[in-house]
Amino acid sequence: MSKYVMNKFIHHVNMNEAAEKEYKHNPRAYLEKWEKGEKLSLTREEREALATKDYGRLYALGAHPFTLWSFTEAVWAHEVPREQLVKDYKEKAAKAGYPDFKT
Amino acid sequence: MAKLVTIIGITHNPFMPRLFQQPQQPPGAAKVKERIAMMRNKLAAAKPDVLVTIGNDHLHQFFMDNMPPFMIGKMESYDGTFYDEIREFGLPTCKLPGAPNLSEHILERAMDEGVDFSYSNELTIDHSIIVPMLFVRPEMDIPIVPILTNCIAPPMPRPKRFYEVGLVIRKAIDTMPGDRRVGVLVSGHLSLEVGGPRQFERRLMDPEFDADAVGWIAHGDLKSAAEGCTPPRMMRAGNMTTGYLNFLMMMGIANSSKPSYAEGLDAGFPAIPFFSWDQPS
Repeated sequence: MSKYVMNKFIHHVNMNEAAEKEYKHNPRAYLEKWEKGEKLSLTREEREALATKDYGRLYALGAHPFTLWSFTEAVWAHEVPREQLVKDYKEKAAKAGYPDFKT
Repeated sequence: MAKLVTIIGITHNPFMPRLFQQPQQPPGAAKVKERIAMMRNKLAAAKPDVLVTIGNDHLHQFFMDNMPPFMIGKMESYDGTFYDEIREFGLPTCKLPGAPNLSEHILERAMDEGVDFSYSNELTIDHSIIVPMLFVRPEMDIPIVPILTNCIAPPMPRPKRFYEVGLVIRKAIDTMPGDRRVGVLVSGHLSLEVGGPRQFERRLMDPEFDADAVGWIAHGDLKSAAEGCTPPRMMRAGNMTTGYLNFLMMMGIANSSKPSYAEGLDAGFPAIPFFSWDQPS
């Protein structure tokens, strides 16, 4: 079930302006705070990927691609030009192929 | 009894409304706008009093804590859209009038016919309904009955089920009391990838799938559609190709009749679907 929790966090950050701001400011601290309020837990690998905004890893772990791209753009676009972000995201996704994103 | 006066199937590409406002537009944009204007005129000519609007939620109202296969909204009015869609696509917020009595009628009648819709008294709609409305009825002045599907979070209802639910929606429309003129507006796509290795490519993702998929609807061929829409085949055509399934629901609403218009437009984007039944039989 932890793939579900990983998606829940991505979804939460993507859809809430305040969460997006806080996560961008300090991803690891915000994730820790959020997870404390959850009944279900992330795996260590999922937690590390979320704490480092590692979209390539999240994609490989089966994050829902539709929400993952939206989230990735939201949390990275202020640091990396969009064109470069799209290119890097696609290269990383290509390495992982098409992981099953069913929760 | 109510009368079904038009069925329109169209793209819900959320980037297009903003793209069409920009001074620099890709060469294919003019062709797309021309088709959209044609559909807008068809809708206006049909003079519907109410619109049944069908699209798939994109993990906004729906989430995997409680995932309905099919949902009907029954509110007096609907807000669109969500924070992330305003940020990512630059979509406007909007308010659309509802037709709760007709929502209730479809909900009840469908249950009589063996389709148990989820329902919502607090539904916000996303680009799957907002974008088609911006395209074909930007005034947003016709009351809507929103029907949302799950074709994004597997497992999903099977292709045949989308069609069957369409047939039942049609029966419900045909038995609506009163003499309203009912239009149906469906959104979806053909082969498409979002958030995968092939996203944002300005080309047809899978021309063979696109041609087949338009053909199944043009010929009302449910059997071939069901055989051609297996999960691996759709994934090969693009990781979000499942959005095509909404058009099988549309085919059910049309009772498999021949459409007046059916096209997967190649305009330098992933294929852009346009379908219409101008006088649905």
